[in-house]
Amino acid sequence: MEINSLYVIKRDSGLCMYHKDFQEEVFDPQLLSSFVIAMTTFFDEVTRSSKPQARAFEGADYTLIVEFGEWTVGAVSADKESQRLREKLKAIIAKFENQFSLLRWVDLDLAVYTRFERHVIEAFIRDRIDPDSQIIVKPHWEFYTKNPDVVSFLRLVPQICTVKDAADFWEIPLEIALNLTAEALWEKAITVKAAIRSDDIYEATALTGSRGSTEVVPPEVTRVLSQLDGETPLTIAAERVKTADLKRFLGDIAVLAEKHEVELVSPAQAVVVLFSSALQELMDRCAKIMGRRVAHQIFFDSREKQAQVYPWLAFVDFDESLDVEVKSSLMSAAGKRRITPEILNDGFRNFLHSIVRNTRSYMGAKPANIILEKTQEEMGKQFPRRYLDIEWELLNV
Amino acid sequence: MTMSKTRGVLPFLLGGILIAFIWVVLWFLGLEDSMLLMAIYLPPFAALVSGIIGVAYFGQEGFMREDRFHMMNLMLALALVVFAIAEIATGVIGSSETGYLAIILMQLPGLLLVALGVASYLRATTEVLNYRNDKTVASIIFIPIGVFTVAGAITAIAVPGALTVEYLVNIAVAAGIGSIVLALGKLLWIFRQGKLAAPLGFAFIAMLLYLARSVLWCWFGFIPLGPLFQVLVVESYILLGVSISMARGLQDGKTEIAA
Repeated sequence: MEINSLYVIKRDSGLCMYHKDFQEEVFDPQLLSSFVIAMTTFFDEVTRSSKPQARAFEGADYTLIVEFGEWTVGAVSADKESQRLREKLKAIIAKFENQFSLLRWVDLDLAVYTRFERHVIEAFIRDRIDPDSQIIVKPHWEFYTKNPDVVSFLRLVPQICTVKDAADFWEIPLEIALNLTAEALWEKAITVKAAIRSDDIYEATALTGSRGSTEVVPPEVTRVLSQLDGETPLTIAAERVKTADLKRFLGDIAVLAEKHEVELVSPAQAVVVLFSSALQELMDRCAKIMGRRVAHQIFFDSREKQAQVYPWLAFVDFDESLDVEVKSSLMSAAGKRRITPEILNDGFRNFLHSIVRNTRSYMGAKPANIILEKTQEEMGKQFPRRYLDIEWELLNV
Repeated sequence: MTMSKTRGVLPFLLGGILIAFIWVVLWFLGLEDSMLLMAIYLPPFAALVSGIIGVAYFGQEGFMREDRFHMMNLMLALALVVFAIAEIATGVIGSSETGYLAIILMQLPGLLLVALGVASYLRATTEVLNYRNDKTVASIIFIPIGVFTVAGAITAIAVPGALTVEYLVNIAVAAGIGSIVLALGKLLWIFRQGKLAAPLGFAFIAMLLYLARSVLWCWFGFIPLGPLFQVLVVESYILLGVSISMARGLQDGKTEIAA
């Protein structure tokens, strides 16, 4: 969930009393305030409602979420609407109304921006940062900030490091490092990215990269790029390039991601990879006990049944060499977000359950459940953070 | 089980029941010549038919190391062919204790094939299901060896002159067959609730009858290669054939999809 801007608008005058662009400036704040007030008034008039009706305005690549206070209107421009964001917006306008209640009656300079900054950082910045978040220091960051604490903090930390690493480096408590990071982000001296986790799946966008001719390419980085095929979790990729230091490997990935040489696959694609890996593990075990032919029969009979509800399962194949193969059409649809992670999750879960039920008819409930349990264990090693996205307990027979 | 799946199994089952029935009738009527004739011709025939049918089906794809179920059934089928050759040799050598020793030794490669097939399948199963592999394998090997060694030693002490080469070889072979029976019993227990229990169950009974032959000779004074002795062998070959046909039915059959 990306937040672009926050606006606090006075309801009766349409004046923007506070605004913050978290990224680049999208709208002129006064123009947007007038628009919001005009539209909300229009809807209230049309519906003859005493209670404000408007909730959100959709743009092509953003959503303007609106919440009403007693005498203010709060608006947040974000990439998508969520209840959590709405709650935050409600809370922030309540705080604003409480702190600057005088502004309801008179227009005064109450140093709103400096006095309200702390609340906005707390609500919209601080909770985006956790100890594993990656700090990426912007080039020429010193032009963005004059805050002495932030300047001291950023002066010696590496260009890319985690908040925890920065805290260790400075030998300061983690909580202070988190707050300093939040302030640096507020000042736009850094960008923060979610931590790269060992079971994330990355895809190389360019094997040659975008480096200058003078830049030396370490051979291990080139080897890493060839392993990031959008289907392999980083743990497995790290094993394949025989890296001894996973933390350093994840750091390399962060550098590559920053240079846009690799990118995280879409959530839907990640679901496809997770479930296809689980299917592969399950089918390998089934084939060892029941034989290849029976494993094939079970796979295709289960798929045929489930494909009536989830037609896209027809793009999941099981070849003669016992490899579960996801056709490029499905992978591409998932990558382009034409199929939602929820639908994929439902379909694959039912497919897995159907396979386990058919396996039970061959070997009995106990061995079928043990195979499922072993599959879960193996998936826990490959996807330590995400393997519980599969509702294993529902798959038991 | 559908008709298509039972088509290969029924003739074996009916054949087995019919042979047992005829044998009982002949025994009651005291027609020993007819029984002897059957004892010579039926065992190699039963083993050869069962074996060839199994090899024809499971041999098509050769040895598939990664498919242990397929490999076990192919090994059983090949073992039956070896047993058939050994049984033909029985007719040539004739029925005597020395002849019986020669037959046992000729059957050893067949027993080795059975042991390898069953052991590899047990190993794959214990690996996949993560049962305590070492303990299982150790108990399967050492329990029969222990039981038959103790029983053989007691007999040798109690019955003077019982300790012959034939007797010792028979004890050793019985311990080996006992291991196979235990391994099949373990597999049968693991898959007792599923369709796999059927072929494994028939193979278990078949090997149990095979073991009974050694036990009957060692401790119950049955004449080796006699009519009653050979009926057990025929039935064990037929039951192994049933097991292989059932495994084939499982491989070919459609799975039933639970709703």
